[in-house]
Amino acid sequence: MMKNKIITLVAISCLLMAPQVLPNYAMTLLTELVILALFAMSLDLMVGYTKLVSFGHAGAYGLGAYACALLSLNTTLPLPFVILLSALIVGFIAIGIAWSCTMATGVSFAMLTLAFGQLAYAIAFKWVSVTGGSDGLSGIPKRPGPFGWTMLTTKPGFYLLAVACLLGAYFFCRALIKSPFGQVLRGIRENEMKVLALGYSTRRYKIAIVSIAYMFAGMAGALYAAFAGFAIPELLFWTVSGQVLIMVIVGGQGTLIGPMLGAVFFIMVEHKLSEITETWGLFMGLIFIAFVMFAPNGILGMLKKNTAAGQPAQGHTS
Amino acid sequence: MTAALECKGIGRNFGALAALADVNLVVQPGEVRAVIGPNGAGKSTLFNVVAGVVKPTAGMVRVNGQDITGMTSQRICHYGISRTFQISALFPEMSAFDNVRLAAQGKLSERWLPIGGRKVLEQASELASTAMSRLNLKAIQDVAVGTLSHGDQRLVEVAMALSQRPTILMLDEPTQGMSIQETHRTVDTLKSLLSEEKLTVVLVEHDMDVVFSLADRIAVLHRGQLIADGTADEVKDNSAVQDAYLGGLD
Repeated sequence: MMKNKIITLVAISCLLMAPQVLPNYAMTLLTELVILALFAMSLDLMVGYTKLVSFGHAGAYGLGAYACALLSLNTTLPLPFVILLSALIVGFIAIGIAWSCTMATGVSFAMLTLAFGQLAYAIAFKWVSVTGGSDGLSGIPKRPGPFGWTMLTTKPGFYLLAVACLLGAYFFCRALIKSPFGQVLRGIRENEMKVLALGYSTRRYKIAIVSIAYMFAGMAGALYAAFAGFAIPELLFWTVSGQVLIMVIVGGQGTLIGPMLGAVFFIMVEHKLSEITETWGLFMGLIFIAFVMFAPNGILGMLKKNTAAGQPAQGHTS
Repeated sequence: MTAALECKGIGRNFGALAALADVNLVVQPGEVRAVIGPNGAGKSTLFNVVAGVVKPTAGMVRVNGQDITGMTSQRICHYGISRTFQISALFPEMSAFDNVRLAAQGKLSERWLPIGGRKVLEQASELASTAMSRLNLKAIQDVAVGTLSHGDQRLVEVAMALSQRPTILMLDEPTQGMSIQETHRTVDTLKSLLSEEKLTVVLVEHDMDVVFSLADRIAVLHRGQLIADGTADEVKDNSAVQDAYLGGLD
């Protein structure tokens, strides 16, 4: 327990210190990683903790991006409020989506989430007057404030905002999974019928967790739109949903931390592979298959196994 | 006195097959009632009608005088019916204790709390502890349920039902698939449980030894109809019952 706390503290300090140490171009990559880590973590709430596989998580991400774009372009709200409001909007819309999707279970549920994701993509693509169609919305400003702060609109400042969102979401999710609510989710993951017989109306729990997961995905999308300065339909495309699902599974589902590592791993490998070959997607696929076959608990699972194997040795020395 | 459980004219058709026809059953508080019958007699259907898994096509089910006919199993649980399943239904990757705690939590009004809720978990833990110690399961409480022996798994499921402090405890073939030793142990455990406290139990069981050693009264179903209802001796001497069981052999 103590060791975990120390690792958490070290990781948080590293994240906060990064702007002082790293060069500018590295900060761009790191900011993107933090945003994608938040995105992947949000999906873990559904996939890892409740066994609700979503193939439409990009829908939430893209909705957040468009919400952020529209709010930034049409109002004078300061950036942090735009991000929070976008997340809440997506969470609210997700209640309806979740209500529909949870009518089904298993594969049908996954297909419904995919359908809603693609529906959102089609709307973003076709509703030109609002979404800008295939060009998307660009020139998204980062408005300063509140209290006249301009810090958050600078590059390192925005990075810190993204880190704050990630940490806030992480500690929220951790409290969530340890709560009575989280125990019910675990039960649903393992045997939904039994949870029903124990007197829980499981559908309400599922709707709630889908909304929360979509809310954080929306937050990640909003951060991305503000970071990149644009929102485009591609953010909602189903391949993005596939990628984030790979991040969760490769990182280690049901751990919150694992999917964050998965996001980092995915982007790093993508960067390195795309430098070498145009068919990097093929190799990414092979890596994914290798993980599913040989390390089903993902990167975090492998790390845990190694430290567990190392522990007896430590015991001898102390 | 209001009956703990009252089934009135229960009928259930599956297509042209009448799985249950006009079944009347009254279980008094504190009574251990077994429902027996040859294969296909309708025991499980009756059980599932009471538990809300199967909706009856006719008749009425009352718990403590309240009508629960046709309600979902999730709501029926809150009227005081807790059940075990014929094939163990558990959360295999969770510890035995967490299984029971989740069951106990299901009856607490703040069971849904998303943030905080430490008090709810503590309350549920206490209920879980009590239920587990009554079934002598304390030793295995930290073991993942999926790795327990079949017999222990069945008892964990009983502990889950018990931790909900139900008005009626419904056990669906509690010794199903057990070895002789496991059956003995389970019967002994259940017997000592029942001797310590007056519980209302409805028990569906195949094993006659189990039935005769646990039940106060026995109801016998045959081809969807109630053909006898009485004490062990009354049922044993009943000619219709003898016919049903001997007839079931050919």
